[in-house]
Amino acid sequence: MSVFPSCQNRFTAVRCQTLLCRAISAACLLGLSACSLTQDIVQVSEVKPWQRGALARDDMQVINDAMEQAIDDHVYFSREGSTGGVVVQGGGCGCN
Amino acid sequence: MSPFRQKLSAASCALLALAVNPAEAAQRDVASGGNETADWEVDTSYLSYREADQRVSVGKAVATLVREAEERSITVSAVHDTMSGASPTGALQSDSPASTVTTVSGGNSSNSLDYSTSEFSDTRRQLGLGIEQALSPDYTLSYGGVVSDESDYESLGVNISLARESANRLSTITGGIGWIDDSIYRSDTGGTPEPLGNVQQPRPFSKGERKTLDALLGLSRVLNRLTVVQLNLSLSASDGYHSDPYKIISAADANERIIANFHDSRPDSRLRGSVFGKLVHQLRDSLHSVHLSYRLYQDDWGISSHTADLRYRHRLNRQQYLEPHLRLYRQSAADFYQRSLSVDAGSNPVMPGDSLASADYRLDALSSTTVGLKYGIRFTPDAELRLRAEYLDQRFSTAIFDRNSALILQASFSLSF
Repeated sequence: MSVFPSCQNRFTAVRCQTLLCRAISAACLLGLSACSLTQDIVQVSEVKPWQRGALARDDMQVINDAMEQAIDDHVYFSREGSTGGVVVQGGGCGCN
Repeated sequence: MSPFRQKLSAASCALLALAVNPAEAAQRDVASGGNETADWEVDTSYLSYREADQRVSVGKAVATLVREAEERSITVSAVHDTMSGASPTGALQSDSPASTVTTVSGGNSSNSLDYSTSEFSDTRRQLGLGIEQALSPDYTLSYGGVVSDESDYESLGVNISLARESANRLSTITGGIGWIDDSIYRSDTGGTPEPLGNVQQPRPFSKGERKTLDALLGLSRVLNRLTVVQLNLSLSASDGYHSDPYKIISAADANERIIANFHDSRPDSRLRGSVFGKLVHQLRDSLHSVHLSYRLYQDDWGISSHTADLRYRHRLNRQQYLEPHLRLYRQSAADFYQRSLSVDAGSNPVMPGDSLASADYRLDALSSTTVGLKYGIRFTPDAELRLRAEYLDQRFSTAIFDRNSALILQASFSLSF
């Protein structure tokens, strides 16, 4: 009996099982990738000054676009009930 | 880490990487364009924010000028906003004549029978100055101020923060405080309405004044050569006028027939706290990076919120990148939020015992979803163009208008010289 209710005949059953195998393989690959990514992130290691090339890039800064950050803070400040948490700054508005 | 300190670190790392590891230096150079030695940087941007159904439209022009010196950087910024549209007042929708509602920011009501929205038009100008000074190899002092002005709101803010970088340059602790002084009033009367006063019997009060003290303690830490994490704790205490002089709450019967409309009334203080965490990671064997952040927020008005933000920067080649963005937000309602005030058997409004009530949709339980895409291109190592399109969708629990959506378009150009 096929795991898929619609897989009634042999042809569709084989096709469905192939799809199932691919899905399981993809899920395993995804799981392995996620594990590998998690390991990359949580692994704490000493970083020598000459190993900080990637960390010096603009896009690796915690605030990599200060103007966009300020604009987004203002947009969400005016449309939601909570704000703050990233930087200390002024510049309030009536914000209808 | 402050932008100035980031640039100092970037420059020192670049030199070390160049000396010891040319490959990593090249990797850094791909992204930054190798412009750390520039003395001046100009960043300009224009943003268009347009809500559906011709609600609020905002055009925002921003210009920032940064002057880098040996141990100091000075940033001057200017913002010009033009705002117009029909803003929800909080009043219920009605086809029957209601009270006289003076419109937001001096505009004119578009429909004399329905006060649930009110047309407005306003302009806001903001000037900011920020200075970052390296006190020693480990300490950086940052301070500055912001002045903002519009037809019904004036704001003055000052801030100061101190950052200490560890001896191994892997962690930075930052402590900062900010002070904000706001004046709030209606553009038509120059004052504020009586809280929970009937809008048909206006009793104008004087200008609303509010003082806010913000404090932030932050820690950023390099975990490994591909990962940086940040943790911020922040507190904000404000005292004074917190109501919105234009917002209205209706008193209505079970059939939502409006009996009367009243002005918004909120507490005269607010204490906010948040925990913010961020992870920045470069994917292994690539130049693609991920920014993932989460904020937990709580205040003494009863609002608690969760915000998750994910950005993935996919580098197309040495000059160009694409950056998809997803932001998810959810909040609970303020304790005093109500869609409308009820009425008793005699059709008299039932006023809240603590005299606090607001139908402002931003204080309702709500969820927001933002999806967006940014494209960036460096024409030269010192000139970059960034284009961004985002779509904001908001769903409200009980507010008069149960949805809001907006299209956000932004173009930015930065030049170093």
